[in-house]
Formats: sequence, C-alpha cells, structure tokens
Amino acid sequence: MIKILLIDDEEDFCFFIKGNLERTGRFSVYTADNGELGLDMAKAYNPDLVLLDLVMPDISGDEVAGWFEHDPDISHIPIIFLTAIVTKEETGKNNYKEIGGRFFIAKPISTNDLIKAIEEHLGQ
Amino acid sequence: MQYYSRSHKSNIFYIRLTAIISLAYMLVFEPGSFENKFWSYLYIALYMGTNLILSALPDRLFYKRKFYNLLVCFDTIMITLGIYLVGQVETSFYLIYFFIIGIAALSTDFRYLMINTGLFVLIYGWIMYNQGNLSGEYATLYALRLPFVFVVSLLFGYIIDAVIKDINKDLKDSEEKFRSLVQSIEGYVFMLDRQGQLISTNRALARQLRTSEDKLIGCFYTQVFPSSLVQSLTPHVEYVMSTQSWTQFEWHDEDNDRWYLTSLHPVFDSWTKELAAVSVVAKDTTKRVQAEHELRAAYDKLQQTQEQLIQKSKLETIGRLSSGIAHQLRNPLEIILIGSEFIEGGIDQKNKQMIQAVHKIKQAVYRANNIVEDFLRFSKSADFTLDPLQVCSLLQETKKMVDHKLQKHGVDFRLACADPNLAVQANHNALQQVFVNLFTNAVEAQEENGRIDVSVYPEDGGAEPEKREEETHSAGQSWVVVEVADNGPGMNEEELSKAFEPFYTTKQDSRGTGLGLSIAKMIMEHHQGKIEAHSLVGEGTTFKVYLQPA
Repeated sequence: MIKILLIDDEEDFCFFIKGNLERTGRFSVYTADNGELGLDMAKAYNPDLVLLDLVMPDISGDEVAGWFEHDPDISHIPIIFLTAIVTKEETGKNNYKEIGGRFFIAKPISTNDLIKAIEEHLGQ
Repeated sequence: MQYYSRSHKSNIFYIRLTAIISLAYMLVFEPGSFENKFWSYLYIALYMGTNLILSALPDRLFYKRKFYNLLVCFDTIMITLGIYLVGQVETSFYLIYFFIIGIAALSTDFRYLMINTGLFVLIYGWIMYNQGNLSGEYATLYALRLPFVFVVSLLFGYIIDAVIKDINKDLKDSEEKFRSLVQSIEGYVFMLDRQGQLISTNRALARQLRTSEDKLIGCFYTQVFPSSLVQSLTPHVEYVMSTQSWTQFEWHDEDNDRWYLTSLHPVFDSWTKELAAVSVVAKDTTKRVQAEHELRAAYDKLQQTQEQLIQKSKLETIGRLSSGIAHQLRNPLEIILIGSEFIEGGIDQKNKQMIQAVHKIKQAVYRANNIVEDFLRFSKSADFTLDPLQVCSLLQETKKMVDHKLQKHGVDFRLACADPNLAVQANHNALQQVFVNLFTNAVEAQEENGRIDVSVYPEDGGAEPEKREEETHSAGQSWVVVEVADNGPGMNEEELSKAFEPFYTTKQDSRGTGLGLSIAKMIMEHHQGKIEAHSLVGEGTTFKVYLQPA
C-alpha cells in the first residue's frame, strides 16, 4: 500500500483523487487543504509521497516545499507539484516532468496518468 | 547714367548752337536771299530759343529714345527751313545736305562719320575751288557751306550715335543684369530650342558637365546630359512643348545623391507668339529633401515604437490574463475530469450508455483544456525578445515536431530554401509556434496524397499589396517570406476572411480551438511582420509569413 499525502486547497479535488486512487486498492490517501495541516499530517503519517498544489491561497506550495526540505523528519519524502500553469510542451505527453530538480504534474490529469506518474517517480 | 545724360545734354546744346550759328552766318551773308531779312532774323532767334529751352529741359528726357527721335525731326525741319531761307533750295547744296543726313543716319560709328565728313568737306572744298566758286561774288556763301556741312553732320551724327549707344548700353545692361541673375542661381539654368539643342546655360551647369558654357551651346541635351537626367527630363520637355504650359518635377541625381526641384517653362517668340524654346531651372533642394526624409524616418520610427509599445502592452495583458484563466479554469476542469472518473468507477461496466456519457464529459474537458493550453502557450511567448535566427533550420526543427502527424496522415513535406543562411529577427519559440500551427493546419486539411510545400525566399518592398499605398514615399520594405502551401480543399472567401478570427475553426470535433491562427497573427504583429492567407477552393491554401530580415 502506497501512502500518499495530497495537499490542495480544492476540497472537491482532494475528495475525488482520494476516491479514485483508493479504489485501485493500491493507495491510501491522506488529504490536507493547507500547508500547515499538510506538514503536521506528514509528520504524523510519514507518507511515501507528497502531492503538493503549487498555487494555494495563504501559503504557496513553494513555501510548503521549503518547510519539508528543512525539516529532517520529513525531508526525505519525495514531492510532486501539481500546477495548472504549464503547457503540454513543458510537461510532455504524460503531463509529468522534472524541471530544475522539481517534479511537476500538469492539471488536468486523468487518474491513470496520475498513477503512472506516481509509479514512475517512486521507481516502481 | 546721370553723368552720360548730362554730357549728352551739354554736347547737344553746343553742337546745335554751332549749327545755328553757321546757319545764321549763311543767312546774314547770303546776298541772293530774300530782300527782307526779317524772317531770317526771326528764324535765328526762334532756333536759338529752342536751344535755350533744350538746355532747361530735365535730364531724364535725355534717357528717352523718343525724345531723340523728336529732336532729329525738329532739327531736320528747322535746318531745311534755314536752307530754304538762305535761298539754296534749288542748288546742289540742298542735295548735299540730305546726303549728309542720310550718311549720318546710316552711320554706326561716330568717329568714322566724322572722318568721312572731314574728307567730304575737303573734296567738296577742292571741287568748289577748282570751279572758281571760292572767288567772286558768292565766295563767302560757298565757303560757309563747308563748316555748315561739317556742323550739320556733327549734329545728326552725334544725336544718332547717342541713341545707338544708349540702345546698346540698355541691351548690354539688361543682358548683364539677367546674366548675373542666372549665374547667381544655385542650381542649373538652361534653355532648349524646339529641337532640344541648348541655346543658353549657366556656369554651374557647365561646371557640372566639366565643360564650358560656349561648348555646350548648340549641343543636344540628350547627348551631353547624364542619361538619368535625360530620362526624367525628356517627358517633361515633351509635355511643355505639346501643352505650352509649365511643369515641375523633383529630380534625384543618384550619382551624387542630390535632389533638384526642376521647373520647365515655355518661352514664346515675341513676334510670332509661337513656342520658341523651353527654359529649365533646376534648383538644388537636397537639404530640404534630406530634412524631409529625416523627418519622415523619425516619424516612422516614432510610429513604429508606439505600435510596438501598444503591441507589447496588449501581449502583456493577454499573458497575465492567460495564466490567470489557466489556473482558474483548470482547477474546476480537473475536478470535472477526475469527478467523472470517480463516477466511472462506480458504474456497472455493462452500462454502456453511462460509460459513454462519462467518456463524453472527459472529452469535453480535454477540449476546454486545449483552449486554455493555447492561451497559456501564447502567454509564455508573450515576453519574448527578438534575435537573429536562421529561418530554414528553424523550419526543419519544427518539421520534426509534426513528423508523427505527417506520417499518420501520409503527407509529403517539402522544404525549399532560396538561401539556407537566410536570417530573420524573431523569437525562436514564438516563431516555432506559428509554424507548428501552420503545419498542423496544413496536415489536417489534407485528405489523400497530401503535400505541403514550404518555400523560403527574400522579397523586396513594393511587391506586397497591402502596404504599398501608404509606403510609396519611404524606401520599399524588404522581407523574408515563408510560404506554406497545401493541396487540401482550400477555403472559400467567407472562410478566408474569418481565418484569423479567434475561435473560428473549420475542424470537426475537438481537434481545433480556433485560436491557432489568431495567435499566429498576434505573434507576427509582435515580430513587425505579417501573415497572409491565399486560397482557392479545390486547389489548396497558401499562407505567407513575412518576417523582418536580420
């Protein structure tokens, strides 16, 4: 079972992602609608991967990623950013790409593509 | 002028006085004249009186030819009357008198006249002496004839000479005046006769043609002028000759890069009133023309900068809007997408209708996302900078990006570069986006045995139809043109007119967003270039992309 922490301010998005991923039976998904909660949950559940929305109202995904990097408890957890402002040319056909040491997934992404990206990132 | 006239006046006064005195002598000493001397004395007094009046006349009369003519008439009548009073009318002397007037009138040189008169007086004196006229009863009268002849000749000769001299002087003065006027004109002045031969020129023209004024006279202008001038001058000369009205044109001396405002006027013969010549004045207006050109260039530059600024702010606004729209739209799109997948997971796989419904919702999401994608892609190229780049290698690179589409549709792609090193001022990514769009459109327009012909060539200004009218004054703009031609079904006029409108598409289903060409157009505007579409139904469509050469 792969543990995934999804940090996104869109509650509906979190709800559907959780539903879709967990239905496969291979993932267990924790969701947080802001960075602070996400940080606490990461420490509490020690997920295998964090899906982090880049654009959030109070604290941006960028900042949250900084906290993760500087916290030795959770700095080992890989992060994939979710963003709406990249083009297909930038992310490639699978909507997934590494840019400057960071990994991006472009919204909108289908569940299948998301799973592919997660698997690829975790080397499975 | 004043000096000459004053001297004429006193000279004429003294010569007339001498003539009157010699007449008076003859009248007084003549024994055969009328018994009553009263008329003779009256005559002498009157004649003397007129001479006194003459001395009191204002100087300015002595400028006038008419006055001299009157004076000659008056003196002729008076002297004829004097000779009549002397009683010599029936003698040979009277004939000699008219002979003298004739000689004086015909003479052109006062000195020769006086020498001739002197010789005549000597010969006449010798003849009279030989015939014995100088001795005897009428000796005094005969002797007096000799100074009289001399004085009358002197009088008429002097008056006529004064008139001729004045006429010549007037002519000379006016010629000199006009000559210096013509010479002082900066530029070229010349006159052509009806055959096109030079009948006068100024020094500046002779100097320009590296010859002298005299050598130019009589030459055909077509033979001595530089051919560029002949070419532009000839139609105007012909115009003046045929219409007998004046004209004007601006001549550009390309060899020396100078401009001349050239005016041609007809010159009419003062007797026949027919066109006799064409006068040409070419005034150097280089400084003015240069200033005009500089002004125009500055104005164009200003306008261009203004357009660039407007274009830039337009692009920036679109860019800001696009990324905002992308974020705001894509989040709900994502929810719809994964939401419908969530529903999909809960549906019985046998329920085909529901599965299809979900599939359609997902397709709609992708279609909406394509529109966002186009905007976003454009906004990312909105802050581009222009650099010189080789357009042919860019096209080859772009071709690779659409290779899979070409293969899928079985379309033959040909690229013809006039010069592989042809460089343009462009932004790599933005220009690539334009060509990806054009290639994709071309591929998708094809049905079977499709072909895309891409050609690249430089083009000089003037040939392009749109801007021709507004740019007649500035030097023609040169372009690098990329032509993308397909042999698809083509577009009708209505489709063609809407081709660059946003959201207009002829593509079925979700393939097109209708933004490709409108974005391409915006990108080309930012490149100070343009894009044109030409199409014929059934024959295909050609897009022409005009780029600024680097």
